[in-house]
Amino acid sequence: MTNKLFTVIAEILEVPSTAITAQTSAATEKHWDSLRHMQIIFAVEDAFGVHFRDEEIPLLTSVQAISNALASYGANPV
Amino acid sequence: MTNESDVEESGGAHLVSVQVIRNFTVEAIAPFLTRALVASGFSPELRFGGFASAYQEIAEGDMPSTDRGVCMTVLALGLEEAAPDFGHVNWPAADVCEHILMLVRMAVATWSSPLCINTVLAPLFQPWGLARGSELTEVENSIVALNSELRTIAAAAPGRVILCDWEHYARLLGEQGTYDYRFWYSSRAPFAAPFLKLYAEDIAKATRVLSGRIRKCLVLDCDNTLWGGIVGEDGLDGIQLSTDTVPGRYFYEFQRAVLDLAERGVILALCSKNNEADVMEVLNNHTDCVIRRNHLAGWRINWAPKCESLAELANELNIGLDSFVFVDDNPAECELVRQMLPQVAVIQVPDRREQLPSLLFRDDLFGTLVVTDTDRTRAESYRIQRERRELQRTVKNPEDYLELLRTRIVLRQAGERDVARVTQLLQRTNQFNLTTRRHDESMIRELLASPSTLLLVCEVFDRFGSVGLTGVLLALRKGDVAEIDSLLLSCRVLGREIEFAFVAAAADWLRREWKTEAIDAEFIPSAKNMQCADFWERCGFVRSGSLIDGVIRFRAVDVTEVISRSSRSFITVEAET
Repeated sequence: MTNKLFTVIAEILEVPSTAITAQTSAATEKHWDSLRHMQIIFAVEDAFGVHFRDEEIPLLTSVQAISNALASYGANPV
Repeated sequence: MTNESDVEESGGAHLVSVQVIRNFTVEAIAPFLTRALVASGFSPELRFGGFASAYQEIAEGDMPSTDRGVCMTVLALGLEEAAPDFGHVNWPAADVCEHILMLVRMAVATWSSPLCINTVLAPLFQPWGLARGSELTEVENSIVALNSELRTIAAAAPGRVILCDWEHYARLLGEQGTYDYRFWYSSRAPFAAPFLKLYAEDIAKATRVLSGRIRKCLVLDCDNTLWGGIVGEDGLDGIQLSTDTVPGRYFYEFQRAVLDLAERGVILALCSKNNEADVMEVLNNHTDCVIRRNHLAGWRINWAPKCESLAELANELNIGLDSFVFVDDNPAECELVRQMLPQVAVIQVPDRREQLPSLLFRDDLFGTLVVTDTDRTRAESYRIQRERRELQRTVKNPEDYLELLRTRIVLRQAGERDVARVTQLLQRTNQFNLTTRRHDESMIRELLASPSTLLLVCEVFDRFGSVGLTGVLLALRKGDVAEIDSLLLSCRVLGREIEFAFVAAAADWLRREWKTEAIDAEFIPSAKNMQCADFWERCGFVRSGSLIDGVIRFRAVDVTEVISRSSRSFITVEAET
């Protein structure tokens, strides 16, 4: 399965988008450090036209969490 | 014929390495910068310096040279994180500004690779409000002075120090687009994505220009682009083009923007499906049409597909399609050109016509880092070329054409004022260049100072005007013999036998001034100069052997014969002393 969110995150983590799943997270990806986290947030916001609240951001450390947050803003992560 | 500045460009993904030296968290720029560089055809590698080590990294000197094409350093220094009290009472703005200026000066003085520097942003909010005391004034003046100094530094090193104007991004974007407080306080990363995108675009643009990938030619549609309405239907008086009423004024202002670009060296052409006579009537007779026939290097005004017309124009102007920017209002035409000629940058006229006047400045597609005198007169020289081609088409016999051109060449010994142009010609000329020796500027200065060296330059004029300094001959005195080290002619003037007249005049000079009895000359074959393989023999030289170490040698023992064989009756020669 490929979707837009996977592609955006894969670009930042510098891995093929096929390597990304809903379970991909800061815990499973050694590249996903705090700087990449910021890059991911910027890139996701840019791609989906949303603006996460500051208290959400530290929690958005997995693809699933980001996907859920996007859905809560009415954005379609696929 | 090829314009000499176009020869060295090539396709393919260029390698580029960018290192960012900074005093705050700027990593969030990475995806935007990578994307901007990839979109410009680069294969980028980014490297970020340490968080608190800007000083050491600058002091350590240039980035290690790699095999990665262009190397660019971005010095990203802001006030935001430079001292902990940013924007608060007693924030030592003057000291912080001085420190930043010191870092930039050090980098500019010690580094030789291209460097992006930036203006800094004053705190958006300050505790004083309307109570403008001396402290606020001091803070603001320090920042204004720093930015002014940074602009001066960049202007003094054009092409090496590039200014990324943060103040300008902030003006364009406002608070929301500039700052992202979420990451400022959590990660020392003050800037928002839109700001970082503009910054990334400028860095990518500078990289593009440094690697010679620039757009040079603006090709414009006419109806609903240069004016509102359709000239073929609405007529000269019916089209919308006016200095004082809308919508005509949008188009008038757009035309002025086009002329601004021409002023900095962009070549102009038209590509329109129209009757040529209708368009020419507007260009010649409409009182508010500021783009005139004389501004144009060429045009295709006919009913042929625009892709064909663009390809023909590229051929006629001797520049690559990848240096074209094409503007049209018709979405179908735009899409077709994008599909068929992906190397052309296509801009569609916006639906909101009030955006038309600033359209061409927004993306600064014609980005150059330096504007030279040659750029300022380029439109003129292309116009002259066009008129020459028109004459050539009307004359059947090539000899008549050369006669009608009334070519005049003026020879003189090069002086200090010629060093830049002579070096440029030596570096860029490929086709008519007998030895392709790429002497650099310091070498030229050395040669100028030497009494046993003759550096002759040749300026060409004809009935259409000046073609400029287009020929260089370098001779070395070896007793009674003169040795021609270099001879070249810009491809702008090839095909007119000027090279012969130039050699005749130079030989005459050598005979008179140096009492030269024989002239030695060389031909060093390259991939691009085979057209001059038999040049020396045609001038009366005799080949003295075969190819040895890549060089073929020639000698003329009778200078008078060289002069008589090379002189051309249809070229007037003048010597300036």
